[in-house]
Amino acid sequence: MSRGQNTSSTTSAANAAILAAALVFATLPLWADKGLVFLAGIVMVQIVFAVSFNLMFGLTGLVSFGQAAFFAAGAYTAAWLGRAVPELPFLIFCLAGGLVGALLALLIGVVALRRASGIYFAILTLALGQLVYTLIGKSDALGREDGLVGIKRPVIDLFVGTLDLSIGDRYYYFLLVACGILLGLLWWVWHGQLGRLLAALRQDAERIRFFGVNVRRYREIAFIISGGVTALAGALVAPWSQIITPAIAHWSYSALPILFCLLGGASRFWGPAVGAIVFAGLEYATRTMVGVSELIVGGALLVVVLAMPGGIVGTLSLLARKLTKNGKERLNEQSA
Amino acid sequence: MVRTTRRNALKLLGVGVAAGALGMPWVRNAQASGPYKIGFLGSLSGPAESLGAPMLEGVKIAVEDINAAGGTNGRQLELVVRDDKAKPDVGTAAARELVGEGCSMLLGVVSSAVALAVSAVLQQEDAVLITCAAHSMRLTKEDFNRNYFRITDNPFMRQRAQAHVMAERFGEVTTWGGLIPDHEYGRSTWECFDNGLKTYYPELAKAEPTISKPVMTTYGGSDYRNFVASAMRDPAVGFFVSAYGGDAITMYQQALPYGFFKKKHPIVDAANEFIVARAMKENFPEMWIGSHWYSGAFTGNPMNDELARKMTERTGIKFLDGFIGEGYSAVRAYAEALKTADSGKTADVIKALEGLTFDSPTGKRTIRAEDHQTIKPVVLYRVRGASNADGIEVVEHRVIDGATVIDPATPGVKLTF
Amino acid sequence: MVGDFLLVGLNGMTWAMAVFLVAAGLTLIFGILHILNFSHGGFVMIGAYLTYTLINQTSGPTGIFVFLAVAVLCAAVVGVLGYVIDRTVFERLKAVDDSYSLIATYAMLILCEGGVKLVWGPDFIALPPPAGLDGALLLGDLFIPSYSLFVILSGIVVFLVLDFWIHRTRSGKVMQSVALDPWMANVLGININAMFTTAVVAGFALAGLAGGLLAPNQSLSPGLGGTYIIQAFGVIIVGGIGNVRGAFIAALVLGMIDAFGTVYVPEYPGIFFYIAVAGILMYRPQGLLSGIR
Repeated sequence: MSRGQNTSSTTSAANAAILAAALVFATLPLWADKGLVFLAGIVMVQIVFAVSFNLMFGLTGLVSFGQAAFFAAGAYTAAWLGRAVPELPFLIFCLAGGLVGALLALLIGVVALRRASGIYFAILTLALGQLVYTLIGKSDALGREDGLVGIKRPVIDLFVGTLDLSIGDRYYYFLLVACGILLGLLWWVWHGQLGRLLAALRQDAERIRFFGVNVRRYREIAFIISGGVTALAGALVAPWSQIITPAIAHWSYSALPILFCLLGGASRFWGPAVGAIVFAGLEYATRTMVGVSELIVGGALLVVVLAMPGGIVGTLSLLARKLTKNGKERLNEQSA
Repeated sequence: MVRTTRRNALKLLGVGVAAGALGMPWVRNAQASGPYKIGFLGSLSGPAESLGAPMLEGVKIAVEDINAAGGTNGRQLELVVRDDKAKPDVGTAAARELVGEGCSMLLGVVSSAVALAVSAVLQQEDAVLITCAAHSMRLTKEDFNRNYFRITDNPFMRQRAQAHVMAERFGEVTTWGGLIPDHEYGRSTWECFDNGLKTYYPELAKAEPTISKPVMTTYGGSDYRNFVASAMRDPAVGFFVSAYGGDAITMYQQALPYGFFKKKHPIVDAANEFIVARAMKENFPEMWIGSHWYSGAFTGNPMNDELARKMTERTGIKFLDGFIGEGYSAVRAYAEALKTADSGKTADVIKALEGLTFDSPTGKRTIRAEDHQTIKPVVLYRVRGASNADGIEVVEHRVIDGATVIDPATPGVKLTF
Repeated sequence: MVGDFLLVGLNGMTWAMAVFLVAAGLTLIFGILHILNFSHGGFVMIGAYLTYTLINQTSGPTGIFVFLAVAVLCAAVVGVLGYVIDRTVFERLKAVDDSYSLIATYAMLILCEGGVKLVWGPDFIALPPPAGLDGALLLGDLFIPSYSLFVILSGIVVFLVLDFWIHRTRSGKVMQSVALDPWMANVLGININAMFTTAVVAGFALAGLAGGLLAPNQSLSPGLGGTYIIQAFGVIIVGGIGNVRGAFIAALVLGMIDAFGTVYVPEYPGIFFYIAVAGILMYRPQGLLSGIR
């Protein structure tokens, strides 16, 4: 609706913000302590998690409340393969993780998208996600409730030599590059033909159907891409946190990307990323406030959502547009 | 109206930014002179908060005591506290942050999952961790690494000591069952208890125990009636329960009307300290509970008496949980080790801790050099609800010499029976 | 064997009615306002803690009637809280997308948790059932805890009262029409804002009542808010949006499946609830019953 209508000034402001954020992430190991660097790595993965989730949520309006199942599928596949066949290259583990996530999305998507919509889709995916969670917790090969511990950071084979990612901050930079590539891929999907079609579908599904487009098939494709990239994010996080537990498949983990999307703004590509960063910042700032951290985090979330119903990015760009006093733009916004 | 809210939001965010600045994440300092920095990592929010908070109190008292007596090597101890929320990723981040702030000596940790996660990154961060409660056998067995130490007992010691006391006291009760939460800790406690029954009944009671398949339960739920019903149908008379905290309260509360505690006796509770008893008060059914530390069992030990007095003074609680004693002991262990490892360097601290014998509220403890498991007395008490001001009473307690029930040191090798 | 069957059935019923008590208020608010109130469990928890505090104020053993009176009082208090939240939070959520209510109510759940910790502390608390409900009835060789019977009875009574209100009274019928088509109801001269507020207050009061009645059912801790919420979500969705009858039936069906699954396939405790929810939704994607009934 509002995509592509940005005035050039807001676009350049947004680009500057993205560049600044990328710069902060890229230089973090140079000036921050190890704890913050570790958290930043987790946040980068969560950004990919949330943006890939938003492919479904932002473009089709469907809430998948079982997204953590894909994340866990990727993480567990990669970590398990790392143990079972350690001689294979790390990138194969990642790709396998993504593939398993995509397959799981295909399976769940075929069932859930065909049968349910709206809130029923959310609860159906929630139930299926909880099934995955329970099965992981009962599986001996996956370490049951204690998960897989001591996951090694890989040595990757470049054609000119090998690169040991377990040394220093190397895996962090690897994560930075990998997440950048995945975000680039998602950007391409979001702004490409599929993204445009889905956005149009959300506005007027009837008219698009009239043109003979198989609505469900496109949604399924979006769901599979969303699940696959989420699983890739999961595969990347395993060597970073070096432990994975079934908690990453639990429904409360599925709630995270929803939270990030709504907080940041689901109608914009970068909205979930902003949501993830703001939420992590909130948690980080309150980490030493023992006893009152829940009150501050909960209160801040409530205030933000009540004051900024379009999410942070949505509200900011609305604000920026108002500031430009472009009456025509405002009219467009109202009609949208 | 909307405008004021927005302003409030900005104000709140401002507070957040200021607080972040106060944490000063960009400061990296080394530990060459000045105070020795010790990092406490434990659950201070979430479901395990009521375990982590008393542990922190014990740590604080030990630090105060040592500093009041002039510190270690003339240097004071400085405590930095971080919450792990009982989540492995939060715990790992907090541990790295503590190291970044110059605390390479870590202690605390309630949850086994957090302990396993943090233990795995210790070598890479060049830090030491002493855990005060985490009971997973993997920490000193298949997932052992040299930078990790356990200051308290483990399920092998604890549950076998419990079986030992049962064989001694209830030789006539030869049929045993269990109500076991279906997670690694639960299964591990049952395997050890089962092994203890098979070891000590023939030896002490001159009888072969008949052990039923345990009833595996969910955890974090609100309804245990079907599991209780299954346990009621079981012919076993004695029962071992390793449900924890709120789950145990829910389970016991729902088991009461079935007459479970009249039909099944004795009941052995793996590790609930006084947490469940204090909550249920006079309705608390009689059972034998495993504990890290019970002040009543070590009266006469000046360290013990002093710790109990201070703690009761601060909290008003008479029946103190063992986490306090373990937090206290971990600080004592570091202080003792620093006497020989006065540089505070990780490699030196590890070397000094290995084989270290030190004074604690439970008397002398020795850290085994091979697998870093501490040899310490195992504590067991019989508690029941009572119509006094506290609502509960300790009928009796038993202390078993840890050396008699401990597992052979086999770091790197999975525990098998 | 027959006794076992009865016992498992009875336990299933107890679970079902406990979850229904929690779900009743949730489905009411969802049916009228389309807000999936994540914080509902948090207010159930507040009801339970309030009950604990009030009962400890009374001296001597608590009788059933005192217990019931306390539970109703807590329902009233939480209902008032509901009014405040309707004015400050829900009022602002009407204009925005349904999904945003998720994040606002999730934030409220976190606030409930923090608030309870601040007032009552983080330690576990237990409230025993009132005198007269702490024993068991003996039916042949079958033990039936009287508190279980009380929970089952409470669930049925709450269901009947709600059902009567929605179907047999004028205000209930008006509520149905508002849920069905608020615009049309407005045109017909119904004060829909008043009806929205009534639904929210009633929903929160039901949360408080559930908290009070279920306080002796399990341990109390600041994490209690999340304990029932997923089961309650499953029940109201399987039952059909905003449908109280559907929620009642769904609670019974899911309770039975979970109870028998747990007993006869003990290797996978707790998994049958999710299998049943997924299975039923695949078979009937709009839930068992539909519309507000």
